[in-house]
Amino acid sequence: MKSKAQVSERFRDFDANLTTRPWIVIGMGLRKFGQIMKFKNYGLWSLIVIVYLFALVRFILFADSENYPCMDMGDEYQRCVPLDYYGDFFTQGGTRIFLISIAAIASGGVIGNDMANKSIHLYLSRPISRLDYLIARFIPVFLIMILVTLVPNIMIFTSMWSDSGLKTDWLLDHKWLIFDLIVQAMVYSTGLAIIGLTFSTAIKKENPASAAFFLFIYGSSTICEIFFIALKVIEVDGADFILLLSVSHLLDCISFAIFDAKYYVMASGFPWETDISNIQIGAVFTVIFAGCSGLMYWMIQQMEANK
Amino acid sequence: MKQYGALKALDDFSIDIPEGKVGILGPNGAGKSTFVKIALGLLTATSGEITVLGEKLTKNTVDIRRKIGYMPEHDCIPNEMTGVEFLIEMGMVSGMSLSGATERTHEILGHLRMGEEKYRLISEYSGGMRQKIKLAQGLIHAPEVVFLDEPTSGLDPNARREMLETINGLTDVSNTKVLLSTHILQDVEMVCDSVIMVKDGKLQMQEDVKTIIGEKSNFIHIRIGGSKEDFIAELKKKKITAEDNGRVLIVPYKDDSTYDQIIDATIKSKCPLYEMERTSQSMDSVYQEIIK
Amino acid sequence: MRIKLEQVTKNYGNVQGISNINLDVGTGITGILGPNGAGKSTTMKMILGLSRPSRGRVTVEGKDPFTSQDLKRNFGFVPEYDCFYEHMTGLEFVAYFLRMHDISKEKAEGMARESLSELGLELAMDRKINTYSRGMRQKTKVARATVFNPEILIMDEPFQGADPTTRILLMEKMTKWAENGKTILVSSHILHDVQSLTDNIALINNGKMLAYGNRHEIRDLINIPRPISIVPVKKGNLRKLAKIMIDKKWTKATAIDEENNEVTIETNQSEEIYLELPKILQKEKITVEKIYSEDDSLDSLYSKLVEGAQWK
Repeated sequence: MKSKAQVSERFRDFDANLTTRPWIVIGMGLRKFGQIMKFKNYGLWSLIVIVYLFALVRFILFADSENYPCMDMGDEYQRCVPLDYYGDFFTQGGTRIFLISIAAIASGGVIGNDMANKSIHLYLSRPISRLDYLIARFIPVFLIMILVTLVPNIMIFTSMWSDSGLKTDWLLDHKWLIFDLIVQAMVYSTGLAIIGLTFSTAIKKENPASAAFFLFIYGSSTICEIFFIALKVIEVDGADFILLLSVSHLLDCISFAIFDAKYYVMASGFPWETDISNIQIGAVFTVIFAGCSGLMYWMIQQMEANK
Repeated sequence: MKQYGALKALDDFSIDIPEGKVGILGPNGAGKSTFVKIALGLLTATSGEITVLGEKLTKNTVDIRRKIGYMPEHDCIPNEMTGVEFLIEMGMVSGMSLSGATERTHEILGHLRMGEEKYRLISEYSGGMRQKIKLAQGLIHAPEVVFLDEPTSGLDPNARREMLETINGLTDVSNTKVLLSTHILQDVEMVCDSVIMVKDGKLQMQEDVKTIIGEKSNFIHIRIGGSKEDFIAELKKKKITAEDNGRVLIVPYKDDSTYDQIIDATIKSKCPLYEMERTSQSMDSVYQEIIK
Repeated sequence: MRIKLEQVTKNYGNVQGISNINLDVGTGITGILGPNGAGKSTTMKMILGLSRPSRGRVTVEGKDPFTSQDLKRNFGFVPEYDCFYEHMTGLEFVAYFLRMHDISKEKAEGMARESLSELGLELAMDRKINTYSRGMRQKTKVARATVFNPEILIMDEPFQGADPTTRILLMEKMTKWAENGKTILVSSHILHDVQSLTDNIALINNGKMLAYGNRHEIRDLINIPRPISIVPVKKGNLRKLAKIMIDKKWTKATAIDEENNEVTIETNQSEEIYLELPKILQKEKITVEKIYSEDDSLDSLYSKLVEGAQWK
C-alpha cells in the first residue's frame, strides 16, 4: 500500500479544550498556594512550624483535659482554649502575633506583584472576570490561614478526645464544638486574608505591604488595648467602643459570640469587662470587609480603565 | 460608542473588521486602545452594539475571551518565573489542562525559535525575547483573533524584523486573524492585508494595503552617478525638467516614453543609472493626508 | 561643527562600552544605527563630554568636550529615557532649564514658548507633563534641547513611541535645522525613518564602528555580489531581457520573477552594468519602468553589515 505524504497541520488544528470558569479559578488558587508554600519560603515555613510547636506545647502537652474547652473564671467569665489560641501572646499566651505575621507574608505579594509587573492585565484579558480573579487570589491566602488556625485546633480537639479515652459519648457531647471551631477559623482566615489582599493591592510592593499589614493589625490591636485599659482605669464611659477600631479585637468579639462567652479583654492577669452589642459588632464587621472588598475591586477596575 | 466621563473616546464608531491581518493606525489618543479593550470585553461601551466572532458582547463579555488573544503594548510579564512556567500558567488561566498547556507552550516557543533559554527566568531575557513571550501568551489558547498592541515598539531592527516575520509566519501556519495596532507605518506595509485609520474616535478609512501602496504617482525618482548637470541638461533638451532634492532627481511622468527618454539622456551624458522608479503612494503619504 | 573620534575606547569596569571607534562627521544629519547595547549611547555620551574615553581622543571643533565649557553651550541633547519633573507644565519645564543659565524669567518664558510652539505644542504647553502622551513627551524633550539654538544636536531614539504625525513633524524640523548648518546625530531603530532623513550613517555593533559615511558608498565597499532588478513595461520582454543579460560576462546569476514581472541579475561589477544597461536597453528597444537594487535600502545594508559582522 502506498503511504500518502503529509504535512502536519497540528498548529492550525489545535483544539485548546478549555474547562469552565470555576475550575480555572480553583486551579489558579491552588497553584498560587503551591507557589507560596514552596520550601524556599523560609520565613513562612518557620512561622508555621512555630505555630504548630506552640500549639503542641501550650495546648496539648500542658493541657487540662478536664476543663476542655472552657473553664469558669469567677462568676461571669470563661476561659476557653479555642479563644485563648487566637489571643495575644503576651497577655493570654495565644498565637495572634504569629497568625498575623503569616497572613502578612502570605498575602503581601499576591495581588501586589501582579500589579507591579502589570501581569494583571494579562490575567484580566483571560476568560475570567475581575471577581473571579479576586477569588482566585483569595484562595491561597485563605488556605494558608486555615492551615494555621483550623488544623491545630482540630489537633487539640483530637488530643483531648483521646485523653478522654476516645469515647463516642465525649464526641457527641462536643459535636457543636467542631462546628464552632470551623466557623471561628473561617472568620479569622477570611478576615485576615481580605485585609491582607487589600494592603497588597493598595501598596503594590510585597515587603512594604506585608509590613504595613502587620503594623496595621498588630499595632492597632496593641494601641487600642492600651487606650482601652487606660480609659477603663479612669472610668470613662464608652471606652469599649475603642476596641472596634482594632481588627483583631473585632474578630475576637465575633469569636466570643460563636462560643457564647461573655467578651472580655485580658490584661495584667485578669479580665476587663466590655459591653458591646452583637449588632454593633456585626455592623462594623460588615462595613470593614465590604469596604475592603469594594476597594480592591475598584482599584483593579480603575487600573484597567486607565490602562 | 464609549464615553469616559465627559471625554468621548469612540464616537459613532461602526466598523466591520475584515478577515486576515488588519492594521489599525491613528495618532496617540485616537481611540485605538479603547476600541481593542471594548472588543475584549474589558470595557463596556456606553452605547451601541458590538459583535465579536458572531457573538454579541453583552452577556458573553467574559467567555468571548476564550476566542481572543491579547498582546498589550507595555511590558507586563513577571520576572520571577521562567518563560515556560509563565506560559503554562497563562494557558491554564485560559482554561487549558496542564498537559495541553505544556504541549502548546513548547510548540509555540518552537515556532518562535526560542531555544533552551525558555527554561531561564524572564528577568534574564532581552527585549526581543520578552516581546516573544508576550506574543506567545496571546496565542497559547489557540484564539481565533489576536490583538497585537505595538508589538515592535522599542525593538532594534533585527528583533523588529524577526517579530514581523513571526507574525507573518503565524498566519501561515494557523487560522488566527491578526489585528495590529502600531505607530510604524512600514510594519503595516510589511504585514497587513488591510488597514484601518482612526482619528478622534472616528473611523477615517478602511482599505486594502495592496491597493494603497500599488497606486502610482506621477513622478519618477532617478539616482545617477557622474555629472548631474550634464544629465539635467540632456533632459532639458527633451523638454523634461528634473528637480534635484539633493538625494534623488525627480522627473514628471507623462507616459512610458518618458522612461526611454531618461535612458537616452543617461547614455548621452555618460552617467551610470543607479535607480529609476515611478514612485507609488506610500502609507506615509496616505496617513498624512487622512490624519491631518 | 566637526565631531571627531579617534581610536576611542571606553570600558565600564569589565563591561565593554565601545572599543577603538573612529568617527568623523560634519554638518548635516547622521544616523547612528546598531542593535540594543551596541554602544550608541556610550558614543553619544562621549561626544557630549559626559564621560571621558578610557583611551583615544574625542574632539569637537578641535576642542575636548569633557573640559571645554563653551562647547557645552553648543550641545543640545535629547536623552532616550524620560527625565521630567512630572508635576511641571511643559512650558515651566523648558523655562526652568533656561533659568538655570541666568536668563531672566520673562526672556526664558518667551524662548520656551517659541521653542514649544515650533514643535506644535501650543495648546499643550500649559498642561502638566504627567498628562502628556509619548509623542508630546518626545517633542518636549526636543524643545528643551533646541531652545538654546545649539550648533550640535544629539538625539537618542527621539522617535520611540511617537505616532507618525509626531515623527514626520520632528523629521521636518531636523531637516530644516540641518539645512541651517547644524550638526545632528540621531539614533533610531526604525531604519525607514533614518533612510528618509539622511544618507549619512554610522553603524555600531558590539562596541565597534562597522562603517560610517554615505550609505551608497558603504555598500560599494562591501564585496558581496549586488542584485540589480529590472522591470520591463511589457511582460513579453521579460525572457528576452533575461537572455541578453545572461550572455554578459559580468552576470553571475539571473532570476526571473514572473509574478512581479522582473529580472534580477547578480553581479560584482555593478558600476559597469549601470553604465552599459541603458545602452543595451536602447539598442534592444526594451522600455523598462523600474531599475533598482534591493541592496540600496538601508534595511538591506544594515542586515548585511550587522549579521555579516560576526566573523569580520
